[in-house]
Amino acid sequence: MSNTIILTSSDNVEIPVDREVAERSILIKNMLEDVGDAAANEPIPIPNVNEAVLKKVIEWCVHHKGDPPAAADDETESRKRTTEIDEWDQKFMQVDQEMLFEIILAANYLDIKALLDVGCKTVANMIKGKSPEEIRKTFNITNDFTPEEEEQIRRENEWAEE
Amino acid sequence: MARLDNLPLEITYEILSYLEIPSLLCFGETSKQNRAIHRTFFTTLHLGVFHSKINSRIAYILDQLPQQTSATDRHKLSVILRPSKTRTASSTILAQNKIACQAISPYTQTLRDLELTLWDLSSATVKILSQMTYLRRLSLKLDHSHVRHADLEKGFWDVAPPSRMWNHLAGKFAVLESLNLERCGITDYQLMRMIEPSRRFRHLQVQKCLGLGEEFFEYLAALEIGKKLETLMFTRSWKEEIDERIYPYITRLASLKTLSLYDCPNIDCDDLRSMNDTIWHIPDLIAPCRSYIPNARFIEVDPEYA
Repeated sequence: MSNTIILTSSDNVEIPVDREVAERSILIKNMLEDVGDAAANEPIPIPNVNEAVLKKVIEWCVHHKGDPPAAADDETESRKRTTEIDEWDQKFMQVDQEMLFEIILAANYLDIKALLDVGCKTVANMIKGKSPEEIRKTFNITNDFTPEEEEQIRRENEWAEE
Repeated sequence: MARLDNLPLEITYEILSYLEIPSLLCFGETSKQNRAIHRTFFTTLHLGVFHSKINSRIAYILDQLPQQTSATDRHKLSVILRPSKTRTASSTILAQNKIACQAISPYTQTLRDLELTLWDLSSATVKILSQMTYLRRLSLKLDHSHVRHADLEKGFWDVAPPSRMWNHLAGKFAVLESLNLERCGITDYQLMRMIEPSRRFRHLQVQKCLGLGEEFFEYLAALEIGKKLETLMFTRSWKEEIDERIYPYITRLASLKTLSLYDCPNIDCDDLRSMNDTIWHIPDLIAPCRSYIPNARFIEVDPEYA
């Protein structure tokens, strides 16, 4: 059984990676199980993720290699979850917004639950405590309300500011 | 290019699930698309409107009944009214209901789990509730006997007067699963009409609802939902007819897993226990007061012991 496998990014770059690291991705793990060891030497195409993002995702997987696998019955646990993020992950997520969302999409596609959670928490923390105008600015959202509509919604939401 | 605007909806929902209500509302103010997204996401609200901060704390400390809800602190919101010297009890209630109406009226079609903690309910609020046909869980907490206010009538917290406003809720909730009413003046028939349309109805908690008597148990036992009811917590009712007269009806509530008659002074604790041991076999029984230890009714003292 080979310990290194090769992933091919959407822009056709081959990236060697430890099998154990790559198996943080449930998608890759299942794929390797399905094809069996004989075919595991073939490069695995990851058509939705480009080199830069894939390398970033692998960097995360390397750091979290030893983490215990997430409990399967995390339904109740996840409801109680906080938006706290550990220090290394916080630094890891200090990237431009496009990269941040690419990482989230890649984590979703590759089925890496813990990385998806960190990404979503990071975005949630960027929304928290901001005014609507500040949120628009942060995420480059176009305000398509008329001033009247905006005023009406603002009044509708006044109760929460009492 | 990946942006917040074009993420798959399930990822956006995941992000929103980390937000508390005020942030969720701000997100919904940013654009038409986000307004629609936040609205479909807004399914749970536990709102309390209080006249002081300390009262909001006390209300949640006293809140120890088991809840059939998956709500977390993120769904809870306490609004504290601005302090005002001229605020009377009735203007407080008016202000509370105004906020409740504002809070829930944009979400009548999306809310699934709603809890309102107020001093009293206005008919305007009830009318909005009557539009919430998708509610699965409703809780109206109007019992706050710890609240002292110079202006509140004596006995205000003891009993809620009957009201026609409850008629608005008849026949509206087709998917209701759980209902909690505290100090509501609803009558036997009004409550029956409210829960009767839902085939999924399983959990009923009523506390200090003195409009409910023997007749309610009779209705409940006769209906299909009575046979499927899993939780019945009928507490703090000192109505005279809430005594052994209700036992035959309880026998017919065949699916009960939890029964509480806590603080119903006309129920005899021992009778209730023996009914359960011999006939009902309800796993979780909460009797009015005294705890009963089988075969150890008296403490024996050895007179020789020095």
